[in-house]
Amino acid sequence: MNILELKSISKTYIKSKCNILALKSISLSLKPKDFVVIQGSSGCGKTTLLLIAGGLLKPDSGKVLLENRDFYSLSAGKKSETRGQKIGFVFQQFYLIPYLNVLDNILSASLGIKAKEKKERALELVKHFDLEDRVNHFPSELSTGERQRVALARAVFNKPKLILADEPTGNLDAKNAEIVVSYLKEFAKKGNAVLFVTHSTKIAKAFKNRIKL
Amino acid sequence: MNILKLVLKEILYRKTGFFLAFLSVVIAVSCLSGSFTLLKIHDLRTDRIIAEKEEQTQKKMKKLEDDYRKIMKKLGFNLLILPKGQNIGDLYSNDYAAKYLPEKYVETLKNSKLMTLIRHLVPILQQKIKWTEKERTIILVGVKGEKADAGLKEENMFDPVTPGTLVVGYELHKSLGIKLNEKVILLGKSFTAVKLQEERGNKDDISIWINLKEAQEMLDKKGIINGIMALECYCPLPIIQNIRADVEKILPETQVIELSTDVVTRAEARGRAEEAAKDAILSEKAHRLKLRDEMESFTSILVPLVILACAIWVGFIFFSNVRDRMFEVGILRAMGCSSSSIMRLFLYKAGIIGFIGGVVGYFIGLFVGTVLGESFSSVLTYLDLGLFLWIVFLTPIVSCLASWVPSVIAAGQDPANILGRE
Ligand SMILES: Nc1ncnc2c1ncn2[C@@H]1O[C@H](COP(=O)(O)OP(=O)(O)OP(=O)(O)O)[C@@H](O)[C@H]1O
Ligand SMILES: [Mg+2]
Repeated sequence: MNILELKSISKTYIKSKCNILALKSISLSLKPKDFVVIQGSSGCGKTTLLLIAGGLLKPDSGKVLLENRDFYSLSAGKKSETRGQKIGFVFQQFYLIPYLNVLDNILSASLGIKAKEKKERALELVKHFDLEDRVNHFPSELSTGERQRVALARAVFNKPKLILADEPTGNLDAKNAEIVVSYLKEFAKKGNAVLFVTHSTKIAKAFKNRIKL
Repeated sequence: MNILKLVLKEILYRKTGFFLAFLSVVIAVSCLSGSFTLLKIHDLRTDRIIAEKEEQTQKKMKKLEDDYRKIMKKLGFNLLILPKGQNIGDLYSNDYAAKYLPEKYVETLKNSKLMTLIRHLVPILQQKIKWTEKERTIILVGVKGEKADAGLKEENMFDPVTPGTLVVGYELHKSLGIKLNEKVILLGKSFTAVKLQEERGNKDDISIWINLKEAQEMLDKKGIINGIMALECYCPLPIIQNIRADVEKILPETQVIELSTDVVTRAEARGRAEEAAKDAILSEKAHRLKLRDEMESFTSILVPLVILACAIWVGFIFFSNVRDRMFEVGILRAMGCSSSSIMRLFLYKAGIIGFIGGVVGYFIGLFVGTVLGESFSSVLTYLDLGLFLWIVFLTPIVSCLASWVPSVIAAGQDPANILGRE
């Protein structure tokens, strides 16, 4: 069973003056343990693809199947519930909540769902991403790399089936990029799927499943 | 992590926005509770003033009533029996008496059954004359020389004037310098002034009283009189009409006039005083009511206006809050938050602001209202638990309504629109 399947997705942004064709007939599928890298230059539609895959942006045509169910046929409530349970996002801009410290930001992923042993899991992630001495810091007090790691910790907090990561290593040094990449690889190995977006050909070359947009 | 915790953390993070919204709720609520407190102070003060006045009036009325009863017991009514056709206005003119009664009418009346109601009968002969010795016009009054009937308890209404003596009215003895026990010549006859009257402010001041017999001789009116005063008639007011008719039946060719007695005057005065007091209370009541109406209509315009302005202000603050938190809303939605949770995120905040603002505003209004209307020390008197509970209940609701539109806008945001933008 595919965790995620995109069937000939097209998306055009319609602005008053010009229409921007962001995606044209994209198809791909992710099975458990798949780790797929999408590489492309800036503005080629990588983020657009992730938003569509995550149920946040309706494509003009094509289908998005999440565990074989048509994602966009779900009601808005069901869609956000599914998103909370099955998908973890890492956004390019992180979108950490400014008034929550590191720990609370990670815990904020549990707002939409019911989760047990919340705090231990959050602390476990803090430790794994080397943020132990930043637990009580607010996003504004963190370096960009630290923020990126908090965003990743938050994305994996709910143990999703699928991670949609938009440039998760974009701001990290080699060591931290390695921590993130290996964590995601480990995550995929457990039977989940990762869709990893990067503009860097260097990073993309390190993976065997790559799609060039 | 739950929504409430998130809301509280956000409030602590964006203190200024929270404080501004809180402030406007406080202003609106304190305006409301201050107005209520002032109105209540006014009402209580009105009650107090009216109660005080009523008590005073009651005391005064009670005293008047007592006086009235005592006087009734002592005095009774006075009647003047005059010859029929005698104009009362002519009584004091120069040709005073054109008509006369026989003196024996006094005996007739004395022997009638009416004497159970009448205590004294005083025959009088009275005439305006020239006191040639002193060049003065006086009213000469002849009254009985002996005490009234035996058998009845005697109380001297009119002192008997013995022959050879006279009583001098105030104006006369004052201006003529007549001293007590001085010999005075009146129409060629010598009298001793045995009594000098106090000032009465009526024709008594220019009157001289002498013995009836002597007066009849001096005025050449033997056996006749002008009228009979029936003093201390003890009967309730409605019966006075009957007594008149009865007297006129027994004594033909007479008319009975009721003298305006102290009793009647006092009874009237009492009635007037009571009415005046009641009027005073009523007008005070009306005045305070009018004042209250004015206050009420003023506050009933001002308070809703302030509340409306503050609600709009809260709405604007929430608009700005929603705009500041767009990305937060987007990421929460992306992480599985439902739009109703987003709505709650803002409405809880509005509710908290309303609640705290309501509590603080109520007490500020109460304090300010009490200090303005009375004094700080009576704050607890005007603590209105019912109003407080209403405010605590309603303010969060109004606050939520004020922030409803921004909250709906936040909840209705498509996360893709927010997060899809760079
Ligand atoms: N909301 C929008 N309205 C109009 N055009 C948009 C919108 N979002 C993106 N675009 C356009 O669509 C194209 C694809 O955008 P997208 O964000 O997917 O690029 P990207 O591959 O993620 O780029 P980058 O590597 O810089 O993040 C771009 O040309 C962008 O200008
Ligand atoms: Mg992008």
